[in-house]
Amino acid sequence: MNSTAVLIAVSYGIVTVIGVAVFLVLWRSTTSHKGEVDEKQLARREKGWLFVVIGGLLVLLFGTIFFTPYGESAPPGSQVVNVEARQFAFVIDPAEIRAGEPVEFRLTTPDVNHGFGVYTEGDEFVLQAQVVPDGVTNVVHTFDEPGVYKILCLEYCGLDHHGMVAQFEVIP
Amino acid sequence: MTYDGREVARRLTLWYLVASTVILAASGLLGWAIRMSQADLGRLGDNTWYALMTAHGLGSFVGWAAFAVMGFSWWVLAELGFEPRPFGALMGRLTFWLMVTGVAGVVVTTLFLGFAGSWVFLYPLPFYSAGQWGDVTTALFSFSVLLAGLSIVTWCIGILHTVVGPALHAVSKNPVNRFLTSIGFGYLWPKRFATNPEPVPYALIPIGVIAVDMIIATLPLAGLLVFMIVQSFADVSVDPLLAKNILWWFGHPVVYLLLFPAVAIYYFLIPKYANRPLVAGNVVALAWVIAVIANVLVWAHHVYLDYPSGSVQSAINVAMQPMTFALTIPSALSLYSLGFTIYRSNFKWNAASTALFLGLVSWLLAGLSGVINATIAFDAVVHNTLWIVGHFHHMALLNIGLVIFGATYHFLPELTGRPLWSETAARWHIWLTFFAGTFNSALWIWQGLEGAPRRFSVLPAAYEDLAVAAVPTVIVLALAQVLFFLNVFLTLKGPKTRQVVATA
Repeated sequence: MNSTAVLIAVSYGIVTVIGVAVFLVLWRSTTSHKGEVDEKQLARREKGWLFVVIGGLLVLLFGTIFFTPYGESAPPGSQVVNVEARQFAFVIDPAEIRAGEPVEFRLTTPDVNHGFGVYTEGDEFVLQAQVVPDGVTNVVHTFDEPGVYKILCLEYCGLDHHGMVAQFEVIP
Repeated sequence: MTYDGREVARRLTLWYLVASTVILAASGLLGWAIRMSQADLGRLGDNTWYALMTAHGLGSFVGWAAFAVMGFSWWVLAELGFEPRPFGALMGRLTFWLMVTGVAGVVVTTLFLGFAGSWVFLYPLPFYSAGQWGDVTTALFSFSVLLAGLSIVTWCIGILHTVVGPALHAVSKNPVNRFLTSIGFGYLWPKRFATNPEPVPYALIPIGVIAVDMIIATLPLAGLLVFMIVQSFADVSVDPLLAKNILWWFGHPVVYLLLFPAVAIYYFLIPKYANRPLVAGNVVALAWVIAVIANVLVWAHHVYLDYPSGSVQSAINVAMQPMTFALTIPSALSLYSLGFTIYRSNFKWNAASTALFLGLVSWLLAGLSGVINATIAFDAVVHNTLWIVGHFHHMALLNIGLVIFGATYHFLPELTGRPLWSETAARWHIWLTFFAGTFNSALWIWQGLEGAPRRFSVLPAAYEDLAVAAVPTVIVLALAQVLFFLNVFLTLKGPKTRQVVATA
């Protein structure tokens, strides 16, 4: 599993356990701990909860917003790979990439929306971007590990969408 | 014969409920078929699989979930004293026929004419069918979706006409002021949006909010659909990226067409079961002010990974992350309010209230996975994987769906004057749906984290094991729904034990 996916799995797992525990406490409070509550005070405390939520969202926002994939550019002289996605194939030129150096993928399509999803030979997700008609999308990445990488189309594009698979090789 | 608004609301709600339940049965069956096919049990042809996927998506999301909560909205409003007046009733009836006709058109064009562009029909895919369907089919499909879209607009108009009606104890006669009062502005600015003597019921607010938002969200899509109909017969085209933005301009708010009326049902029913008023302060109204604005400004989080050079899309996408985060605030505050309304209360547990409680659990958990999708850096990993499928089935089936089931079990007896056929069957239905549905979504979420792509009629071999593992769960989930259909059908056919109360 991709390292970001591991981070998501662990984070989501933790908040899920906490959330379920909260609801178990809530359920239990209606069966064995019934009693009056100060509704007005709880309503006032909702403002405090609002600030907790906003604080959490701000932490997540500033902790992640600098990791968007937009606007990356490879240094001059870097490898460039042109990828044309079309129903139902990828045309990759060149199909060999050097490891340890940035490569700029230039993604185009002459027909419909496609997805450019790169996986290792062992099916670990590496990166993805959408391929949009009438536009060029640039994706920059450095492959550290040599080997064969697979490409899957990650945007539904019609009859043989699932068969739209290709590969390229990263050489030492 | 005198006009009886409550009776009109009752009939509308029953119509919508029965029609949407039939659509659930049909679209659920399609979902079953495509899931089984992925597990190599009854493998479907590729175009058949994608056509069923298209029908399942539109049928389940719009034809069932949206249609059902649109129906319950009429009854919740009536219960709050907001009965539809003749114009609102006309819009309600028009909505019904437009939706039913639109869904029938989707069924015909997908199942019989082979349209398989997916429920988002990303332009220009409907015109690149790889020989599977023709442009006339695309025109018919677009027209069918247009009818369903127009039904949403007529529903919104009918709802807006109802919420600003005489039951709103607003001091002002100005329609704009009355509308803003109906969505809770009086809690924040009591002088300017004064009510006398009663404040606006909390359950009214989400319904008014979504009614105005869905008009704003749907009209551009209607324009795109008209354009696609024209393109089916003429040599014209539209910018694909613009079309994608228009699609999601509608495609995200329509999620809230499901959620906000469901929240209104929570706000209405949970206090009844807890036997105490909703624990909420003015800050809840603030959340809905955020919602009415942010709901129509977060569309681009569905296109986070579209960023062609030279376009402004990446800048729009970056702006969408905080906007989308803001839209979690109404959910967070509502969960607080509903949670503390239940806390230590003398909560009456039955099938309906259990469904609502488990719906709240799913709302929290599916909402949290939604925060992952809303974060660009994380979406870059989970986008268009089965994680997304797990997330929205979790939200649509186990939050909205459980609200629909709970509302059905609660309201059906009072709508029909007939007792629920079986409370025991209802409880089994709710618990089986919750556990099987949650496990089903969890499998998708896990597969998505492993990189499994969505919308694949045949999954890559690496992801097939969990697709097979899901089969028993899907069978349990489907059998549980049979209990629901039986309960609704036999309740409707059952003996009438009392007259339906004609007045509030």
